[in-house]
Amino acid sequence: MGVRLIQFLRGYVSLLLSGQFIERFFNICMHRGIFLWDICRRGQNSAQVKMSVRAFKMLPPIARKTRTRVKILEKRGLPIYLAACKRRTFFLIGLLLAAAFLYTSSLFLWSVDIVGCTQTEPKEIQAVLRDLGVRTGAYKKEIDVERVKNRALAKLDTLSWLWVDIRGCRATVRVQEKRMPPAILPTEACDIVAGADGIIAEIHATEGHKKVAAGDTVVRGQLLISAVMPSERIEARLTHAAGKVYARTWYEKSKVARLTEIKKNYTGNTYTRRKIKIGSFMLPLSPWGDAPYENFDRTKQSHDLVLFGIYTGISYQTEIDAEYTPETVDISREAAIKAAEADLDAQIEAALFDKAAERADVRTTHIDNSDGTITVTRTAEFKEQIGVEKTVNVL
Amino acid sequence: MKNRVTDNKLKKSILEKASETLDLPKNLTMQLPRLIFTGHRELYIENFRGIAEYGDSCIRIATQTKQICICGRALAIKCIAAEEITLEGEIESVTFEGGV
Repeated sequence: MGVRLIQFLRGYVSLLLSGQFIERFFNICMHRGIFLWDICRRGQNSAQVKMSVRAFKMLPPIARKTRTRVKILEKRGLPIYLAACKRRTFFLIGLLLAAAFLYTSSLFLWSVDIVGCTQTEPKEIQAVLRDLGVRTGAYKKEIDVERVKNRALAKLDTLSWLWVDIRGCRATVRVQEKRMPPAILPTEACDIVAGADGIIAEIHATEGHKKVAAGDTVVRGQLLISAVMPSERIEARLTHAAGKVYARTWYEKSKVARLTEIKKNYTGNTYTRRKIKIGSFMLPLSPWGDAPYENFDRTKQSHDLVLFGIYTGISYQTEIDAEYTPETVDISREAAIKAAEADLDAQIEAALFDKAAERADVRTTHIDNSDGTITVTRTAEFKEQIGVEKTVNVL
Repeated sequence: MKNRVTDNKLKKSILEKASETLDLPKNLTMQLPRLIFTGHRELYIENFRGIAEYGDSCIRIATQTKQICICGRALAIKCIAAEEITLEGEIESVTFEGGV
């Protein structure tokens, strides 16, 4: 194996010798220090032989002397291959670039995996690791594992142990979470007051003294559960009132709906602008004027060039202006009311005190106006949790 | 002429005796060929002078003293260098012919 490898590295030729004095040819080669191998007969007056490329250059006088014809059957080995490659400049350049790319790629992290977190959000750990330099695309030699471990543990209270294991281009972050102590209930005195107007539906006080009952009408800011706990045997004490207070609440919104709408008829004409953004420098690839249309919708798209998770600062941006002709069309009364209802529902949702409230009932009234429009009024009833904590100032 | 032959024989005899007395290898002192077989498949020869005949079924190797005739089937020279040669094939017989 070793000899074959050396022969391959030095390069060799396989020759077909033909002549009457092949034995003499071998003897002269032998005396001139030419090493021959794999010699076998190929007929009465011919033989096949292998020798190094360097020795082949010493052959012409021997061949002449012994009247032997030499024919090259095959050239093998590294020098022959490299000589062939010399003519293929772009192949060599490609090979070098590929090798350089592979080497450069191996210097960076390609992925960061977090293993072992069940309660802590991996995104939270990722954010801390990113600040400490452990992120996709990071230069591996700049990562100090001990430093990352110590800093990350100091920043993440929920972890008791963390280890960064970098193998190849992959970083595996193993974490062990702390077993946290039970939450301590707040002790400062506070009342529960109404956050919105309504009629009490249910009241569940887990701490404190109830001041209202189901069916009572309350206004915003009214005391619902008091922090003062009266006692018959000892004097009143202050607590941190807690509980849920559900109330029926009503919301009403109105809107004037028209029986016409503007419809956009797209003509199919578009005006496109393309540009390359390098940092703050803009390189326009097409004329950068205003669209030659009166009415158009503009769509913007941006493709960022990201390598190894890092934005390179280069973006390809396009702006497309699509022309349309506006047309006023009549819509049915039902469609106008339905559109107005959807809009009013969205307004009511935004105005809710408790965003998780259930809608119990909804009503719509509409009044036809003299100018052909309709005033749509939407009234919705909700069951909301209206209790909010309010700190008691103890004098 | 006859005397010279006798002297040569005497000289060789002295060399041979000296080798045996001093326990020196004869292939070095007397330039005798050294043959190493690997079963009947391979033969390694040291101290040879050249190839006298080369064929598929018979290879003659010239040495300082005699010719070695190797007969067999599918005989080939595995490698050949200045002082050593390795043959391979189905070796059937090896005979020493001619000589001084």
